[in-house]
Amino acid sequence: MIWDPALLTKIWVTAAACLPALCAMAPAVSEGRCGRNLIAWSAAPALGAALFLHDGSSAVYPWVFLHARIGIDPTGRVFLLFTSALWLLSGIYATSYLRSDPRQGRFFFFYGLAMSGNLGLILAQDMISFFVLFALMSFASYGLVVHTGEPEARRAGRVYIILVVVGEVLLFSGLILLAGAGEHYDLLHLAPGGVSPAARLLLITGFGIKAGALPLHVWLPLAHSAAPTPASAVLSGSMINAGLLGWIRFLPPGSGPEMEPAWGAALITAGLAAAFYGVLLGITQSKPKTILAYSSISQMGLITSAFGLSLFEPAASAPAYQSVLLYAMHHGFAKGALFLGVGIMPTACGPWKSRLAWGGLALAALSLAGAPFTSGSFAKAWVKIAAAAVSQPASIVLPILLSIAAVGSTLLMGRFFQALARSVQVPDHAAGKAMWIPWMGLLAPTLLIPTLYPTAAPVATFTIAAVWPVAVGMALLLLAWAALRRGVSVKMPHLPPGDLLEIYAAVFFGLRRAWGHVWVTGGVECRFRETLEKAFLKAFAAGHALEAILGNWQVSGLLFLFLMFVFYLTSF
Amino acid sequence: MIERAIGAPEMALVVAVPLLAACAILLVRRRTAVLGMVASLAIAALAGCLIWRIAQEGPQRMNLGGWSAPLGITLYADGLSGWMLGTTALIALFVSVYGSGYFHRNQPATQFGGTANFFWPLWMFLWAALNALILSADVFNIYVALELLGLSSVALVTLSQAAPAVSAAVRYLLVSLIGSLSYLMGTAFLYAGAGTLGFKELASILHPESFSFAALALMSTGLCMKSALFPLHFWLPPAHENAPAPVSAALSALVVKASFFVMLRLWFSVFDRVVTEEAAMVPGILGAAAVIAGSVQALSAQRLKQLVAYSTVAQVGYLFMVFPLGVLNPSSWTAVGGALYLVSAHACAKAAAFMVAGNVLRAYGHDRIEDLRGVVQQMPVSMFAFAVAGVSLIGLPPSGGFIAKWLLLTAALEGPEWGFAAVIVAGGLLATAYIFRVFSRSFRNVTDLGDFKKIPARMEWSALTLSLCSMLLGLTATHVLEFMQAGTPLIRVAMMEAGP
Amino acid sequence: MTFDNALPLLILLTSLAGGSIIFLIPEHRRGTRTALNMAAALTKLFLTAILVWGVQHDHVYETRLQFLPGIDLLLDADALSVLLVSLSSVLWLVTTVYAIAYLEHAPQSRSRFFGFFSLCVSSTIGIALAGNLVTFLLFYEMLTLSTYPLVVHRGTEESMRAGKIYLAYTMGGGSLFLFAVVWLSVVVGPLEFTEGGMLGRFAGQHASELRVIFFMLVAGLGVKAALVPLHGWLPRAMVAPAPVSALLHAVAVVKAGAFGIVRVIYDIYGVRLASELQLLQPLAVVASFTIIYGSLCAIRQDNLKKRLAYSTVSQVSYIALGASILGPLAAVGGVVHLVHQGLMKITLFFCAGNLAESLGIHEISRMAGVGRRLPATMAAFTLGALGMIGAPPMAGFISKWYIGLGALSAGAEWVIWVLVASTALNAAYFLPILHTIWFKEPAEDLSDKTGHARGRLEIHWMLLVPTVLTALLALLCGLLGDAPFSPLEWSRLIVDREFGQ
Repeated sequence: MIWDPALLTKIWVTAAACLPALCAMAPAVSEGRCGRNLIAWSAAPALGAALFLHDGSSAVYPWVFLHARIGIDPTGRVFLLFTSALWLLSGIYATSYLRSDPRQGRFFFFYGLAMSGNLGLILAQDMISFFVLFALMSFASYGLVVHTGEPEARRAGRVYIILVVVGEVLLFSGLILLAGAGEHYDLLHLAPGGVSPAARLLLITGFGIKAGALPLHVWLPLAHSAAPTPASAVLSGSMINAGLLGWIRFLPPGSGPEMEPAWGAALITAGLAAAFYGVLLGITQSKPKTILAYSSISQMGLITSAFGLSLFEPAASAPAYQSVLLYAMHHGFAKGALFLGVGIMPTACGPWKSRLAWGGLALAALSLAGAPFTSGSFAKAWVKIAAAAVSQPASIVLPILLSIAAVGSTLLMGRFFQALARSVQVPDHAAGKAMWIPWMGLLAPTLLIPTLYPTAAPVATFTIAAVWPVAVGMALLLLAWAALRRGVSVKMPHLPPGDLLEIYAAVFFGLRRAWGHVWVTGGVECRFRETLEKAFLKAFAAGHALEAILGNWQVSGLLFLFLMFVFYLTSF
Repeated sequence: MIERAIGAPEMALVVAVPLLAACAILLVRRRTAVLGMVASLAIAALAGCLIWRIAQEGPQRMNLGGWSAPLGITLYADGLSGWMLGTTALIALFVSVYGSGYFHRNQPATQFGGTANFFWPLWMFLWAALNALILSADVFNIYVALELLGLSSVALVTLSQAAPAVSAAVRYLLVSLIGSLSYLMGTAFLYAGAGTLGFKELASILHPESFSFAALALMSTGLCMKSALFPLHFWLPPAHENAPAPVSAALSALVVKASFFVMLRLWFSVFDRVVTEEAAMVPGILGAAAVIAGSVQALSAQRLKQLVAYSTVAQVGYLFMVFPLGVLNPSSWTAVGGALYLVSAHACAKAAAFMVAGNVLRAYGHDRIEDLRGVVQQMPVSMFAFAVAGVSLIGLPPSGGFIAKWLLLTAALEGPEWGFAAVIVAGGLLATAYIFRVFSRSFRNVTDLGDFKKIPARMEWSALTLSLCSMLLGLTATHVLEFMQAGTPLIRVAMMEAGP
Repeated sequence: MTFDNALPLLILLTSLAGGSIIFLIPEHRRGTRTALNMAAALTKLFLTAILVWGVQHDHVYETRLQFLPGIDLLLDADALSVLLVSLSSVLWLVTTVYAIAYLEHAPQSRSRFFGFFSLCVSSTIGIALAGNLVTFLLFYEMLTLSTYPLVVHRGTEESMRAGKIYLAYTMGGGSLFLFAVVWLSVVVGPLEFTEGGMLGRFAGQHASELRVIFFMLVAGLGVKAALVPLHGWLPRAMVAPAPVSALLHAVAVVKAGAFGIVRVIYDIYGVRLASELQLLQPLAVVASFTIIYGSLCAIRQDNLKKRLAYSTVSQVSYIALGASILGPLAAVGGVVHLVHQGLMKITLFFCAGNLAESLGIHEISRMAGVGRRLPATMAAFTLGALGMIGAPPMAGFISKWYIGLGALSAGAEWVIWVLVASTALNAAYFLPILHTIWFKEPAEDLSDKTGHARGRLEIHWMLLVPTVLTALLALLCGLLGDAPFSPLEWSRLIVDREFGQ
């Protein structure tokens, strides 16, 4: 019965996950605008599902993978909401951004696949489906990273894919350990404490790579800046959060006895470290998108520490968890808006449009820094609430650190504006309507979230605590600007994007060279065969000699008699 | 076991018919091939009847001229001799077919001038000798048969009048004379010591005494020499290599086996109380040595026929392993059955191999292994026959060679006789090596194929048929082994299986 | 003889008789040969379908022929054999289609090729259906022989050398195997495969002999299964024409070895006895070493087929590894990899063949940008490669997953690290190829060399369809892992029966 609501729900959920992948085949079939639009819009069902389907609506496919199960749950809904929105808007943006690119068909193919993976893993409710779709997303986005085909893009791609594979194997082994412990693959009912330390470590690292956690963040600055702008937006806005979702799914923030304070503390520390590290290294960068990438690292650091809080103490668990969701959503939208803004290229378009563009970017930047009335301040406020909920001394130290981080991100945004203003822009590539509207669409939530987001208690976003970091940051920026006007030149230490990567690469190639020296194969076999052949020749020679001897009559006669004798003797 | 006093007439006929045919052909001198073929068919048919009769009525005994042993000549046919007779008939029939093509008048007769006419009478003599040897039930008749066999073989070798053939033939003649002489001396000892020559009588009389030791030693050595057991094989390769192809086929397939068959009879029934385990080890060890030495020689052989000839030396080695395995083992029928199976399987395979070698020689005028490129393209049937024969020689399933190898290996491992087991397996590997030496050349694709003379189809197909027979043998093992045991030919075996 | 008794024999004969007749077909009668090939292949497929259905419903299919005193020639279809039978019937069909088109321009005799090709498949079927060790041995050796002419088919210097080496290895292994089989049957009598192991009743007796025999058996089989250090022949055998390599690597030879190992462990010794005698641990170690070593060698190859060959060395050992870890889960992983590896690897070799055939490209370094010239082929290649890496949802992932789970439940965590390492290495030698295919600019002109392209198609349809088909099958095996009659389900059935659950 086709109008059966349950069936409709099932179809809808399935479509939300699979439609993009199906549409992705369109460009393979025919190079055409319609196909690309189709892909862009194929995120719509997911968005609709996030908005209208009620929790627990799910679809079960016993045949697929190992009994696949996809559906919507509260956590998933939040992720699905901003992820699908981001994919949708970036998709539309891309149709115009790449309009003159000969290989856009290929781009949209991978775009669709990655989208399907990303949306699907949010809906996935069993380990295998999650893992499968996570892999689909990771591998497909390789196509987005290397799309331009320029040397740095190819390098970025190489680094990216290596880390993807590393992540895959870490996750694989982690999942094996996890599934081996508990017999079922159901994600929603994992026992929080039921994860062995080894599995926990593997999973945290595996997903950490995607979430750009230290020290495995090296791929992120390269990939995010090398990819075409809309791809960077989804990479930095949505896919990066897939790692976070992985943590949430597989290490559910428990409460009571399953609490993991040690892990929580570790995550908090790592997160804060990343937050500062991202800022410090970002400031040294000169390319706008690279700077944004580093800011993603630092922002994800903050989210990580928030997640750590949720594991740290029962009191903090609920608000911290809330804050994680909020922050992820906020960061998704803001970072997406910033990236797309870079693509808009304020310096390349007419005066009014230019002002509009700068204004929009400023808004997004402020929201990221956590200025009042923005989603950023709202999210940060929640994090602070969570931080305050834990026991001394953390409850004192953490808010201060968070505020300092906020100062840092303000400065980083300043640096971003400077870099963007300086960056050369190609006028002929000016943005069309299909780029402006999605961008606006992404900007809106930065203001809307605080008012619309349903939370337990209304949170004031205009507080001293919220304002001072931004203010301080602004002040510092002004000072710096004035100093620069005075001709004070600060020698910025130039660090290559992907900082630690250089070290890893050095180590890797060193090892490989060493390996190359010790590596000898086949040699053994060859030598063996040679000796064997020599032996054969010897044997043949001996054989011929023997034949010759046996051939002459004296010998054979003697042998004859001898044999007779032997027979006779042995008979006794 | 009831044996009818006046046995089946076929027994006399399978010996008489070829003799008569030989004389007839000698006299007529024309249409030799036709006569030969007719005779061959007749003999084969008779052999078939005899086998059928044995299968139905059990062993047959016949006293020629009504006199019984020791005075008269007694013919005796049990499962063992029945099987040998059948093998002989099969091979001989196809050798005749092949020969009728090989010595056909419009074949290049340069190397056999008028002598081609002598092929048929000699061949008939040889066949008669074989049948007589298989059927005779006393030691002296066997001597007569051996002599006839040896002489006719030598004569056949000389048919190709090339110098090496003649010298090889002379050497062969000497060897077979020496062999039969030493066998004759052994017979004399027996007669002196036991006063009789019949198998049954001797088996009941003989005891471990010095005269029987002497007889055993003389006869065994002679037979070993005649069946080219290493290290007394020196005469075989040149003879088999230089003889005309059908002759080589017959020699390698049947003549060599005949003396082995005699030795088997002697050791397992006549001398069965006399042989000691130490004595049994002697032919076994020599056989093992032969497997290795022969194979190594085959590996380095330059010409195809040479390779096949040396492979005979190796395969004869397998046969002689039966003595230790048979004597030492509790259930020695496994070993003996294996050896007998090898006799037939190897006979088919080896005859086919020699025929193929002959075809190659005919078609290309040479059989240098190095220059066999592209043969597979030009003579697919022959090379396929060679491949199938090779499978049996190597002893891969489902060929008759495999069954034989399996039984021998089982016997060796039941012992367990690790040494013999290892040699059996190693021999298989070496066989692979030398068989595929041929293929690794002949599969090579060449664009310019050398001058190539068409050869009669029957020469190719008779080779193929024989090789396929060696394959078929692999699927009939159960029945064949049953048949062989008709009349419990081997006393030792019978006793062992009766005993605890 | 009822139909049930005859069915295994019929399945065997469809290809055996077909092959024998093909030998006699004159060279120029292309149509006849093709018709005969296809007819035989389709018949076999149909009969196999019946067999699958029947075994699912616990029918007993058993053909007995007298062979040796006390030893029968026994064809007996149990769940495990059905797995290999159906794999080889399906792959035989596609490979035949492929080969017909592939050898169109070849100078060598095609009747000979297809004749031995069918014999090769028949021996594989025989190996699959063998009901006792002797029958297995029979077809095992027959496989060796019928494959040699295929390996040397090109008749070049190189292929001759490859054939020689192939023969040296396999015959050596064969005789070792023969020795072990005879010895074992001398020790314990006739050796019929029985689910749960026929040696179970000998637990505690002749332990030392059984140990030695086990390792001889495994060594004999390991040659074909290309266990290091017995793998030397495999990378050289890839000089054979693409369809042959495809069949060799996917279903025929290497699988025969792996299948034999599984048989010996489960149906002769039985897992319990094998683990009592501590036979499995060493085998697992060797298999793991092979997995790593093969991948390390593969990385260093530039010749595409060579790299694929080494990857086979590594991949096939998953089967041995899965079989040698105690416990049903790992067993499922190992057994299912029989099929999965077959599908993926045959796809890869088809692709290599298409490359060589249409563009004359054999080296990876020259594959830049071929993705645009042969999109469908290269898409298939991509699927196969990802499957080899074990990237979900490809079939390869399922095998790894189960082996990993099994290792964990058997308390052999170290195996997981082997899997991890192998995944990483596979990625290291497959992903660069994918990059070269899709994202590099073509360095040379990729115009058709042999006129294989037909109209809109990138290459002759008979070369394209099998490639794409196997790729899709490999994808489906992973995608619909839990579907009824999926390899995974079937392996579960097998393992349930083996472990008597």
